[in-house]
Amino acid sequence: MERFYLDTSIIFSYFLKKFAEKKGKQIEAKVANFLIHSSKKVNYAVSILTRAEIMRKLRSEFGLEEDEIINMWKGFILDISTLYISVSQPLEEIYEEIVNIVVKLPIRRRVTNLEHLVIAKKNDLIFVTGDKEIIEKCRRFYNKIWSYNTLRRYYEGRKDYLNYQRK
Amino acid sequence: MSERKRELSEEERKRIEEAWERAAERFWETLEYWKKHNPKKYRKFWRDYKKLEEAFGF
Repeated sequence: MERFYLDTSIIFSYFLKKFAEKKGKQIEAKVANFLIHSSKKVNYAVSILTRAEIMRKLRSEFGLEEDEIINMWKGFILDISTLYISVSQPLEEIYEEIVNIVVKLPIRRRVTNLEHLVIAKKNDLIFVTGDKEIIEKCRRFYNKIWSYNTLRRYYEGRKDYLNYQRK
Repeated sequence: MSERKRELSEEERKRIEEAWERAAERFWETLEYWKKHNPKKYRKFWRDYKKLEEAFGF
């Protein structure tokens, strides 16, 4: 079965939903709900880079405490049954790939999403991202790059297929 | 490549729930602070969130 490596924006939507629930706030949380429901049938993965980005955001933008952040992350991994992949490749190997991309293509944004892309590639995962530049330009380096909408359409199709099998 | 999540004890679950409670309090306080003192940042936060929902086709 395919395994999807998620970008940080998707993951943060889960945290936002949880914060809203805890304080009884009404927000649209369709992405987080999708993530929670789809995780029962689809395999998701994150890496130490995802963890670092989420933890930085929670600490530096919202002033949350270290123990809170660490415990919430544990809760997230448990709730979504996310596979936490260990990045075993040496940094040199990862950045060689990134260098190979940035010398061939003009990339406007910083390299974080390219780091995610290379981690996904090295682990044979489908990289799900909202970064249009990555989606539009980087498929020639790794063809398993999906937009959010593609993931959703895949899941909807798969859900129909699984329901059909049960009949 | 991977490390599967392990099951959590009741104690750990309790700690996690308490962490969510405390963090949620501060999270919304921060957003309220932005709303009053940094409305540009506040609007950008919700605009980005809306964009994410739209990118999923919702």
